[in-house]
Amino acid sequence: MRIERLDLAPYGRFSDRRLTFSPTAALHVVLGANEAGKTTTLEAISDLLFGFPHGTAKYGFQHDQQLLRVGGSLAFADGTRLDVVRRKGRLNTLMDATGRVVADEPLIRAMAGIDREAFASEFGLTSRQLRRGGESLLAAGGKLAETLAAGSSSLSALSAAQKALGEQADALFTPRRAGSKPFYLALERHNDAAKALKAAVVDPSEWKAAETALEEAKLHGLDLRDRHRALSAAVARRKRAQRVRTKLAALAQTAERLAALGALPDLPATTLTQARDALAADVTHRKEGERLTAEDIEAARALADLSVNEKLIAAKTAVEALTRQIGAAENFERDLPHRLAEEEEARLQLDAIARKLGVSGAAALLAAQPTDAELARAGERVKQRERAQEKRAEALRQRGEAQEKLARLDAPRAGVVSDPSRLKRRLESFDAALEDAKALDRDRANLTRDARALAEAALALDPAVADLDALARAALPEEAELARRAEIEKATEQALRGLRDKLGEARRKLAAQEADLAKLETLGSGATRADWEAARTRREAAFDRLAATLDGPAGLREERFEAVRGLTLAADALAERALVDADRAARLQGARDELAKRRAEVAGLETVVAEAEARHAHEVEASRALWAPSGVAPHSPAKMAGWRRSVTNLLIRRAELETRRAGLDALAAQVEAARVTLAAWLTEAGVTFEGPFIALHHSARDRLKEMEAAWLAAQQVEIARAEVEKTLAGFTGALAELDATEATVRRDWPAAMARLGLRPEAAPEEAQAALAAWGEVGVPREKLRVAADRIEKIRDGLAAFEAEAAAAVAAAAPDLAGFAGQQVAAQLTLRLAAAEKAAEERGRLTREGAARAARRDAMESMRAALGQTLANARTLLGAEDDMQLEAALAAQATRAELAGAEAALRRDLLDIGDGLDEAALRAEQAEFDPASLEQEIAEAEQAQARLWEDYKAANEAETAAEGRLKALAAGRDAVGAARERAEAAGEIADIAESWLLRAAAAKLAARAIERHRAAAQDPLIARAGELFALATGGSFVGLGVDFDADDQPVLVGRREDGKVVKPEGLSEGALDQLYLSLRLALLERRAGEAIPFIGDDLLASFDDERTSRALAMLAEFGAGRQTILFTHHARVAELARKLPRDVDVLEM
Amino acid sequence: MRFQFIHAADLHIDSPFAALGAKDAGVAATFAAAGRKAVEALIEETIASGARFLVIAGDVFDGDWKDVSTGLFFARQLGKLERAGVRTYLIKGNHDAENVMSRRLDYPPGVHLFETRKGQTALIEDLRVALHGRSFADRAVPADFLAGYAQPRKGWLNIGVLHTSLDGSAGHDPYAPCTVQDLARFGYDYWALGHIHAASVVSQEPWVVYPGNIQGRSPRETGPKGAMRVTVEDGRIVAVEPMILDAARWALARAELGGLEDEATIASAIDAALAAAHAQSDGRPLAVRLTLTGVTSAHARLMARAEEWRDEARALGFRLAEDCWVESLRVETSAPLAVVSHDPDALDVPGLLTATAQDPAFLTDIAELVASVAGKAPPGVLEALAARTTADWASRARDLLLGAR
Repeated sequence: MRIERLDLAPYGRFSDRRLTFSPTAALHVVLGANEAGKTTTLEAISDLLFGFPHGTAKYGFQHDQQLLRVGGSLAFADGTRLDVVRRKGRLNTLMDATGRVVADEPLIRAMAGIDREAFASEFGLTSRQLRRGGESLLAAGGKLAETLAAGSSSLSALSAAQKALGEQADALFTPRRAGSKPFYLALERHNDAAKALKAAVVDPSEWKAAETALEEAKLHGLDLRDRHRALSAAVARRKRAQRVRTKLAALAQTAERLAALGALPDLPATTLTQARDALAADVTHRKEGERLTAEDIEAARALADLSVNEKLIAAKTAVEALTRQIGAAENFERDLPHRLAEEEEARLQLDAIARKLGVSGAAALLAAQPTDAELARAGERVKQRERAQEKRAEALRQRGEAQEKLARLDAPRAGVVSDPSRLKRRLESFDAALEDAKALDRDRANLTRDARALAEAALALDPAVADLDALARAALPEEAELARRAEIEKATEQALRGLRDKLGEARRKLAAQEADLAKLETLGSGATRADWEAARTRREAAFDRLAATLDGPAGLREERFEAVRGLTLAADALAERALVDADRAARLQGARDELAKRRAEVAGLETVVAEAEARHAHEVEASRALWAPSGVAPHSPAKMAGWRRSVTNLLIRRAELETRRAGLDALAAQVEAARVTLAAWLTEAGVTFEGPFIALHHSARDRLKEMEAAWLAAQQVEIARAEVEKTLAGFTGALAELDATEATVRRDWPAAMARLGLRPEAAPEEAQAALAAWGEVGVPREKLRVAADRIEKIRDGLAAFEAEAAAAVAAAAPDLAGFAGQQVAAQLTLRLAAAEKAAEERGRLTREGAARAARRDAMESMRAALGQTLANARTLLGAEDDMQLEAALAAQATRAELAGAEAALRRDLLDIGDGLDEAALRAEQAEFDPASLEQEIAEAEQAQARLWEDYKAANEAETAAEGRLKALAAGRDAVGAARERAEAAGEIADIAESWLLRAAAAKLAARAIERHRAAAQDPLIARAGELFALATGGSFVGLGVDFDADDQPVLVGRREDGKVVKPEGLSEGALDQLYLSLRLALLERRAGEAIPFIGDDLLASFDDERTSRALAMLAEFGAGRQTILFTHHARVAELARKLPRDVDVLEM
Repeated sequence: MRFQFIHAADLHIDSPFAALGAKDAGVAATFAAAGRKAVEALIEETIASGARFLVIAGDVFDGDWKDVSTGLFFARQLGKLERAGVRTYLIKGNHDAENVMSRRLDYPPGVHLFETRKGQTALIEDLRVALHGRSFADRAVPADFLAGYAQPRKGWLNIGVLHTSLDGSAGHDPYAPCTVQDLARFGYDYWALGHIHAASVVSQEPWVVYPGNIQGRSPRETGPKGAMRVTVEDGRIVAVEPMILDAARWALARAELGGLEDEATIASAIDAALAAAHAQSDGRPLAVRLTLTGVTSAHARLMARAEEWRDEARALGFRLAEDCWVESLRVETSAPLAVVSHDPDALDVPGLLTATAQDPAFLTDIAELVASVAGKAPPGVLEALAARTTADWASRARDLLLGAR
């Protein structure tokens, strides 16, 4: 199938674009810059062949999707054609030019199962894919099957699938055990689950054993429990006996004591209590009365000792006020000397300043002190005088500098400088001439080079033309005449060659016949009739000689006879041989006759050839004669016809050169005229220079630059001078202003000095010193004032304090008169405190005496009430006095206590005697020996503890046995283990299936690739070799198969000298070429319709030479099927045009 | 008088389920628990329905299952019946006969276990029911096994309890082989059979009934499972109805992908097939074996990406219900017939692969591969793998390769 036309209308960026592919071209090169729509066009081809992809079309960006069209004209191998337009859509998208739906079967049949993707991958190739292809060949390491697979995108996909599936399979399972692989992991899981299942299953024997164990544990426990109970009972009885023994003894003792008390009246407990309480209260009251009396006596003695200073207490307020002032008075006395010292220091400082100003002392100084405003004004006058002096000095310095600068600017300068602008305008008018001069130089060089090339081309002709000019003038034969002469010469030559061939043939035959004859002659005797007749004649002569000696001597006879016999034998032999070789002789004769004829024929032919040679020589001479006028020594007319054509071309080129030369001469004249004018310009500019125009122009430009620089410098000097003069004028005004200011200051000066206490003519320095001295007065003056103020206040405070002290003394302590205030205050404070304390003590004693009197009265009435109660008690208990009453009450108390103790003992016995009565307990006591009882208990308890431990252990064992049985009944999740085993088995099966499928598929892929190799190898390699030879420009002559160390077939490149190169020995470019050769050779082997091959910037990375060779290969391949190469390199198109093939270059 | 009894068989308690391919322990545990749950449901339903007795026609346990806790579980369940006043009549099937554990099991007093030595008749006086039965002593069943069954008791309801495959049902080893006619000749009213796991009413005159097993355990045992509830009125059987007891269910789903090409429509077809299967699960946990069938150009892609499709199907299953589990996905589709060139040189890869796949040398390769993996797996685990023909593997490998390119 060939695409003969492609219409993009509308499609992508094209509204209506048609590409026409020449039907005879071996290679179409579609040249388009980037963005010219190359990729769009590639996509359009796919859309035309396979329909637009569903969804939004990739190249529909400028047009309504539904309006997209791509049309084309397709020519199929069987001669049919399809002129169609494809629209976007799902069904019936193929139409003819009128918009009628066209069946797409022919297209589908031609594509024979190739889909859009396969078309792109199998029939399309980009430079990047090419590079990757080259790398894949290297990766295949020459292994033939892999290499061939790499050459086809579908087989390389298969190869990739093989690798991927193989890896997947290996990851799942390998026959060699590897713990990390899923198969073995699942196997391990299965085995673990099987083990777990075995362990989990509770079998009947285990169950039975557990049941028995539980039963035994139960029985053991019961036995231990009974034994423990018996022992406990024995211990309990002994312990009870021991426990109650002391209680029983105490009970007996209490009964004895009760009996000893004898009979006592039974009185109610309340009566006894009241009597006891009254007796105790009476004693208490009596003792308290005694204590109160003692306290009264002590208080009266204390009151007598107390004395209270009432006057002082009356003066309490004045004394407290005095006390509060003691601190202040002390401070005043401490502060006064400091203040006096400060006053003296300030006065001394002021005296010192007075001396500086020539004043008599501090008082005079303070009196003469000017105000602050007067001091400020005098200070301002001093500063004004100083500033005016400084300004004058600065103005005079700057004026001096300006005058110096002016003197420098006015220094004389060399040469007169003029404005160069006129000369510049004139020089600019030479620009056109400069361009002409440059063009002249360039064109002259080109002309010289072309003339040399022409001369070389002429010399390269055969015969060589040394002087083309002479040849241009010479009369040369016309090409037609030369062609006619060539025809004639060819005819005569052909005739001559025919005759020579014939002659040669005849001579060969003659030689062969001569050889045959010689062979015949050597093989046989050569016994001719003449030989035989000669032998007979010789024999007859011998007979005659024998006859002549018959009578002669025997020796001679015998000799002659032998001679006859010999000759006879010889003659006979000849006769016999002649007879035998009659046939051969006849053939020999025939051959000789034939040979004679052949010689005659050869002779005849030689004559004819000589004639033909002469004729041919004549024609050659005639041809040569044509060249005589020109003096050219010619070759054959055929060759000379070519020479004549070349000469014509050369003469045309020569004429062109002559025309160019004439033009250049005219230009040279113009340039020369300009040069003369420019030389005049230079002279005017003050330069003398000779040389060609361009050199002059350079020189003129340099001169102009110099002149412009000088002119600029002169201008700058003028500007600077004007500025300096302006500055000098400014200084005169400034000095006048200063004079006026100084006059004003001098006028005000004497008044200012007078306020400072100076003479009117005092210098500014003096004024400065006076100002400084007056400035020092402020601080000591203030210090003096503050100190005097403070001293006065202290003295006033101390006087007031003394007055108050004196008043207090007079009022309350005349004995202190004459003492200093502070001492008085301290003493009075102490005395006041003592007086107040005494007054307080007196109050307290008085209050306590009153309280005791009240208490005594209350007690007396209570004792009267108790007396009645005690009298009643004495009567009831038969006591005569309180002493007897007390003894009777004590006896009653003892009896009550013993009765209580007896009751408590009986209660205790009831508690600890386990419910046994006293009699039973006393009987039990009799059973045991109290001495050994403790020992017996200790031993029994030890035994009991041991039994208890055993019992506990037995109980635990029983619980454990019960738990075991329960656990067994609940099972050990054997079901779970079985499930896990089943799941693991399932997983193993799944993995095995998955592995098997992948391993088998990988194997299948390998076998398929190998199968393809075996079938395709030989023709494929031969064809790929041819293409590779083309692609490498003969650096390789083809491809071959070698065998590697493993005896695997590997692909190799073959050199002309028979050497082979493996893929790893090929350069990167050669690998790419090899890949391309294989791809193309594989495509050629595809059955069915030949689908176009499309390269997309395939040769982008190649240099010119490699590109040319690759193009040659593509063109060779393109002879068999349409080959379209898209490129954006104009160079590729250019190189393609140079191929000796029908190459169709289309520009986008 | 009207009463009901329950006829069950083939409990196979604690017999492991077929692999679910579930990495998720939750899914596996749900199914594993289903076996005992179904037994518990049998007991609860029997009591709840007011049935007077329960007949179990053999194979309570699995033959090689030795775990005593299984027996104790069953004894506990029978204890519940005992307490509810429901009697149990039990024969040992071939599996029970082999089972070591069951021999020593102590059943509650209300359980009647038929003897092995000869046919035995148990009478229920108040209901006037005579049950005739015999347990298997071991795997080998004597030829006159059936002959040991007693004559029917006149005027009573006669029930024969027998563990048999009848005349060799397909897929089952023949046990106590006999024909329906053989059974009919006994003149019993009802033959309570066991051994065949699919429920069926073989005959109604007399009643010859398989209740099937009570819980499906593999993809071969699909659909609802349970026991039979038999209603007797005035000494005659008036109704035999299935009683559904299973706690999880198995299903076979087929997604017909004929003519479907793109993934979305294939996924829809799978979804529809799963939804149809799930609709039959009555809300129970469901394990589905999904088979893709039909002629589709997507065949090779399906082969190459079978595992991804299986995961996709599982995701679709989970969308239907959190306990709808796709156990496995089998790609049984086929590619449309293509015009295949048999010129191995023509770069027609599908043709090249087809031709190579038929190469005897390649079939030998496959046999070697099968042997290499089978030798590493535990016995019996790869039976299914070995059962496929090499040609079948070859064509699957080719399809995988076509899809993987």
